[in-house]
Amino acid sequence: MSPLDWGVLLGSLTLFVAYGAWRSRETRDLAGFLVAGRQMPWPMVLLSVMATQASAVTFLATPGQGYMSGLSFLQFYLGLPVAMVVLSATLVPLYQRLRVKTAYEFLEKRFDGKTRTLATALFLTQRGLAAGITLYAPSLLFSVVLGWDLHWTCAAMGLLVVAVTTLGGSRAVSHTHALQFCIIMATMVGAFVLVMRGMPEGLGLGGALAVAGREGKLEALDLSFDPASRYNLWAGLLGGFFLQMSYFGTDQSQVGRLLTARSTAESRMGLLANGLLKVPMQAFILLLGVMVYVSHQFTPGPMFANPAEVAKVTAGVHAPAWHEAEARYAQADAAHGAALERWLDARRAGAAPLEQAADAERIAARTAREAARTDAIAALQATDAAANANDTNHRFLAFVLAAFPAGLIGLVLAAVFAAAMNATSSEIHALTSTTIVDVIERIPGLPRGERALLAWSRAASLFWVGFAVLFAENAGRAGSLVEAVNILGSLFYGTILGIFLSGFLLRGANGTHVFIAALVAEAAVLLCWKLTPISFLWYNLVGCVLTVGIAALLATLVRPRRAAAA
Amino acid sequence: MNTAEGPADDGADPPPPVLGRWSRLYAVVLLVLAATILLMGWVSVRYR
Repeated sequence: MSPLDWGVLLGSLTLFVAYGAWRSRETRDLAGFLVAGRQMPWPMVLLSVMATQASAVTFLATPGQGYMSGLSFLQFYLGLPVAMVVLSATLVPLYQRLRVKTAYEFLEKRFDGKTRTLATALFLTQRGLAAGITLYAPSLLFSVVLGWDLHWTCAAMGLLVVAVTTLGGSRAVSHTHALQFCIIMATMVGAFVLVMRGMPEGLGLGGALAVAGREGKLEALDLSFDPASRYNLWAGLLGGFFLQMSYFGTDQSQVGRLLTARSTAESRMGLLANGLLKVPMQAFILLLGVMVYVSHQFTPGPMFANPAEVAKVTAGVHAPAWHEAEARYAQADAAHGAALERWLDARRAGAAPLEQAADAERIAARTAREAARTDAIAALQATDAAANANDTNHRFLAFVLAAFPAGLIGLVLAAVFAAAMNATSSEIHALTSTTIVDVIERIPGLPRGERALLAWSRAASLFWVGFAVLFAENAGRAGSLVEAVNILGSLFYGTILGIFLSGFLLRGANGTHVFIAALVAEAAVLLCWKLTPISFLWYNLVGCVLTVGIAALLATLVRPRRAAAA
Repeated sequence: MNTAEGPADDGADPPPPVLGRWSRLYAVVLLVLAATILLMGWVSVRYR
């Protein structure tokens, strides 16, 4: 990195820390720490809700997802706007009316302590592991750019998150989110401009889209109903709806953001604005990845974008096989680029036979290129059986490091760091709030004073960061991080949502009915994951429907003794 | 005053509308989603 990049990076980081500390100078009590005194206006709620989702995973892995699979991932978000509407009409007014600090308090009011404990345990497990993935993404970036050891980078990131979260609590999280989110989006827009400026002369956005379409990167909508296919309209609308309902309505990392709002109306506005903006924002980030892919068709990109794995294979006994595959890849890549240019020329001239001939050459070159990459990955895995063969998360980063001018790389690093702080501090804050309100405060005999609880909350933050750091070190093997974090969530979200919905929909169900139903549903979801080809978005629907269905059945069949006698 | 969030003033008031004054905003969000799905379909076909 150049001195200018270092200056931009350190300047931006200082700005974030100072701003967070200044905005949170009034955090003196637990209510301020947990729900920011319930004083946030809706634009701040919106930014905080969006920034909580926009982790470094979004910044690094979503363009990578666009690069590798095109726009199809956009279908994942189609259930989100519907979920925002349903939540605004149902859960938001309920949470505001009950004046709860965490979503799980509601479960004890409606059912009993054990149901609340079960939902809390499911949430803490899921969110603690997800925090590891969120922490892994920026650590990966910094370890690649700065050449640091990945394990130590994870630990250093964890310590910084502790500093941000424990010093300011919810108010600091909300306010620094707004600033950091703006920098992240500005950097994305800057990256898009740079990609487009790097395209061949005369290609333009229309030509770039035509190339992307020809390469199969703009298949945004798949109408086929196939439960094994990860992304299609139905999985996005139905499975995605249940996932987003659970994430925004029961996951404390998001419910905590909503509870900071001044009123029900401000919470609703924040959620509905998120429903309007989220899909276009993700479309833009995926399109950025697609455009990076298009630019790599004309200027050679790396065969494999994870430099740590490349260094291992080129230093090992399989280096000759790797280099041979690399040479074939370069040759096929050049042929592919030349065929694409001929295809574009023929298309502009309206010469259909030439267009078809060039397209056939393009497909042949692309097949040869993919075969060379497959051979290279085989050499990589022969060198180290545990090697990470998925470079999706490195694709956008490799482009940034190769194409961005000095100074901007520092800004990108600062933005990724900001994204990491946003999401991880929100997650740790949510884990901490839940641990305090749903675990510590319910243990008899522990000191209950305001100061004692604030001290407990800081200790809990430290614990959860340690937990996340431990898991982060294994997160790299999970493939595309943006998929990994959602697959992990989908294993638990359906059941958690089912517990909440049982509370609203089943008047006759008691805590024991819902507790048993949730355990059975969770086992079924885990079996689906392990034993069937069903895609992860459907787990949310399966978990939720089974929990509500079994609880309803139990409520009908097993009535409390007193009611039965009556 | 009876609002979508608050309880009724007395037993004679009709129940508050489920969606209340927010229904238009809900409709806007859902219409934008429908338009987005159509646009995604158009992109998929146009750039096949």
